[in-house]
Amino acid sequence: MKNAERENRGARDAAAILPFVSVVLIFPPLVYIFAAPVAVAGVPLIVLYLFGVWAAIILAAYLVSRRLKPGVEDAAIRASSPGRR
Amino acid sequence: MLPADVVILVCLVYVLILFAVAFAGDRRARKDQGGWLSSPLVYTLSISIYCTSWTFFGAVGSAARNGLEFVTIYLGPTIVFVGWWIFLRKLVTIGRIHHTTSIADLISARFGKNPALGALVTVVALVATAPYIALQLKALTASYQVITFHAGAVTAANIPLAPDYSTAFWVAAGLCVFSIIFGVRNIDVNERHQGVVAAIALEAVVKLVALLVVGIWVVSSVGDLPAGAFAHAPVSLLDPEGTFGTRWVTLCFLAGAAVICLPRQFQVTVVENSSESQLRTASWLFPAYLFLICLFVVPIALAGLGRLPSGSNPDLFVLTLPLSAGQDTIAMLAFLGGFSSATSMVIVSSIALSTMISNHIVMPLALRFSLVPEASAQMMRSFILGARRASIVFIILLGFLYFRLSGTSEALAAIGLISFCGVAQFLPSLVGGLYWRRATERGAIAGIAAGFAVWLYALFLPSFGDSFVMSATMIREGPWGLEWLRPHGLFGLDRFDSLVHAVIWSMLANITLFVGVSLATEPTPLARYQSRLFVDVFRRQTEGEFSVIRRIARVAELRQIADRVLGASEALALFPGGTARDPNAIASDDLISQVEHRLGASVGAATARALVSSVVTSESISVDELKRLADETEQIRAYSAELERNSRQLEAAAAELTRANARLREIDMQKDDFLSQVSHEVRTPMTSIRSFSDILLSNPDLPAGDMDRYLRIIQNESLRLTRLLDGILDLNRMENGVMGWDGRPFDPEAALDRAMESCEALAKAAHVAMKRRARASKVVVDGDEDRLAQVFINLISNAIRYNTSASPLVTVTTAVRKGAYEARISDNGPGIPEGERDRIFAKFARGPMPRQVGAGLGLAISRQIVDRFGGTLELASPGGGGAEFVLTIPLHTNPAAKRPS
Repeated sequence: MKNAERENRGARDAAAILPFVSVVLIFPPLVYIFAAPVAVAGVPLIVLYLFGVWAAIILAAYLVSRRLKPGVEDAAIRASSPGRR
Repeated sequence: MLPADVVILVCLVYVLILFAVAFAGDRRARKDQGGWLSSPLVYTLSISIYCTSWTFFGAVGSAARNGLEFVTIYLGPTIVFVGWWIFLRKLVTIGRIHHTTSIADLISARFGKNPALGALVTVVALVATAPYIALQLKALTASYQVITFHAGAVTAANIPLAPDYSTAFWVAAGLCVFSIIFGVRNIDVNERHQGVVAAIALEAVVKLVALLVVGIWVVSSVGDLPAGAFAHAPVSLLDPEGTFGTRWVTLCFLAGAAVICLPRQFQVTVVENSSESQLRTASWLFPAYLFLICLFVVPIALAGLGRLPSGSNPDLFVLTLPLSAGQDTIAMLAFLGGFSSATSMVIVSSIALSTMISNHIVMPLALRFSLVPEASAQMMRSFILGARRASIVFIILLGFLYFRLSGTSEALAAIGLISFCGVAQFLPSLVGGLYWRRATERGAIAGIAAGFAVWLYALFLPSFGDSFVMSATMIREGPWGLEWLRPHGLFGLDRFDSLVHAVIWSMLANITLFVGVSLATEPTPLARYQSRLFVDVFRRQTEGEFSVIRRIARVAELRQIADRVLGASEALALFPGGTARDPNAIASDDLISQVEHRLGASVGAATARALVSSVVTSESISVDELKRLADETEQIRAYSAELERNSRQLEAAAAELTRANARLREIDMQKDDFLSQVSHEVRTPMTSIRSFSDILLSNPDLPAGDMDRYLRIIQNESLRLTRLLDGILDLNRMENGVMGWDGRPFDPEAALDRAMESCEALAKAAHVAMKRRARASKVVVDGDEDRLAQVFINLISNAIRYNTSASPLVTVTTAVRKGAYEARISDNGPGIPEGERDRIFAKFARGPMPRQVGAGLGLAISRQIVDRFGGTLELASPGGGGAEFVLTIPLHTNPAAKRPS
């Protein structure tokens, strides 16, 4: 139980950090490193980088969302929320 | 080419299928609300109406023109959704708990259900959506024209096709019909449209599949993968450094803002949301959808650049590529994909906007001018529905007008970005409203209005070219030739392109005014209450509004309103049976809030409040409750401050007690001392009286001289005893304040003169000279003249008595110093040793002299008397020898009597 709680908190922190990491990865200045006119197997490096980072972000979001369990607060809200139609 | 009738037929069949899906969806939703329709997958697919024909056609065009820039439009939303835990979760939870009907409803509800704010947001959203709808009309019309062009698609894409406005008109009309049939058949609680959601989810699948099919076909038709696909890459893709400037950041920001603030995105993301698990899945599934949509955009764009003649419209590559290769089926699928993306956007946008217009503009106006039909529930409901239907027509017409007026020169992406910048004006108020308690309704109004005005001037109006309001010269050189007012270079800031420029200035104006005005104004009590509900949505349970706001309304009248807006069966559930029997029954606060809450879910919070207020006869806000609800930290801070204050008070009281206790002990000790001293003092004369009287009694034949001497001693000792007891009595009376006190203004000099006179005999006997030095003139003090004289006599006689000098001298000096009468009595005697200085004012203290005659109470009594005058009696610091007493008494305070003539 304690373990699960710790894991959940870790996932929450990860969920909060993820968008900021994403911003750092796709915004200048970091993106300039990969904006050089270089091609890997005929594909421009920047295309590979952007789509690769994008896919990685989505994968990370998937993993995080699977670990996130609804917190106590959410359960409380659900309980108090009036019947929905 | 494809024959026009085939295309139309396919479209009609497709629309019929959508109808069927929507119908089935609605029916299913009514039967089972937890079914697959509210599954996270359908929710995510409905959010993907973000991908309109701008994405379907425009992304390829953007990639062909500007390289990777098109990705920003999808990266922004990716970041927002991936970061759902930070912002979206809060937004969606608030929307779900408060039954929000639109973004205007949410913003106006947050800022005290302010109707003006709701109307402003609606107007901004309406104007900002017009270019977006025009974009869809343009894409639909152009794709239809190209696919049915008689000379073949390649030619069609190659020549600048004049837009066919009649086609556009019919497309617009068809969209109106579809939206009306689906969106506004009924006004139901929560404004959720599950049938429509089902239909747009299907459309989302169709457009994704269509684009993937075209993409896979394009990629599979080139050899030498993957290098072959990038054979015709433009410079912007091969050397992409220029792509990542301010424009990159700005576009990411705008897209992220738009995916929250666009009325239709708000509708599908917040209003249609029914649980957090939906959002949890969408947080990664929606970005994944965007990723898939974008995956083949670059290859398609590159193929188009390579294979089609130069000059072809890149916005239509998705369609013209398969057409030019004779792949009619793929082309038809692509057309349907574009059709899907455009129609779903227009339908949801118009539904969302029509709700906003009817709730925030039509209803408040109708209520204000009493235009709402009150006759029957049926009429009220049909009035609302009519307003919504008319709004839909109006919205689509506005889009059509923009399309007609602006011409068609611009790329799809450029038109869409104008809308993005417009709706981004909601972002500061939305984010601020969710996290900043201090944000006020006036701040929100000022911010949005200012941002909107700047956007209109710097981006929207110039987008018409010179065909609407602004002339070409005005856009180029500024109004009246004022350079610094150029729409694309305000205040000379012209190093950015027009979009970035407009974003910078509008956001700057918006945020500055929002924050500034919020800091300068106070929120209304209701806004303060709402801010607490919104900002602390995860922290606290929602308490009923009735705890703060006390309202009085009749049950019957409330029932009437609920009947009219919600319908009879819905209303029945709200009112427990039988309450309506008594026409004058008063509704509880709870019931009133409940009715308002339910109405809000249908017509928006501001309108619901206005409706309920129309039957509320009295409304009062409990200040105490508001205080209680004041910011939690504020409360804790106040509480701890109070604790601190209390503990400080306690500390002070304890110190006071300690001091008082010490003083009591001291007094107790003094009393003991006094008693023992008194006994001692009394004992000495008593002893001598007794022994002499014994001698007299036992020796009756004593010589007459001796007898006479002994009797004299007895008399002297008795006198001394009497003096002593008189002194003690005096002192006691003085201390207890019961001594006779003749309080009135008098001249202290007179008392001094009297005292000196009475001491003259004593001085002569002791051969002491008395000298009067400087004397104060015209002095008046308050108090008892005799008592002061007594003090003087005591001081002077002491000076005479204890003077052992060879030529004894007593000097008396008086003066007025620092607003007080001061008398100094000094002698040239031995003075008072350092160790005795404090002791001499104590009772029974005598000078260390052999000639002891007094009871040792004189100085103690004198000091008591001077204290009573409010003055001080002190021993001056030792100077040249001898003792000097200083007496200070405050002057008479009444100015009228100060100078007695």
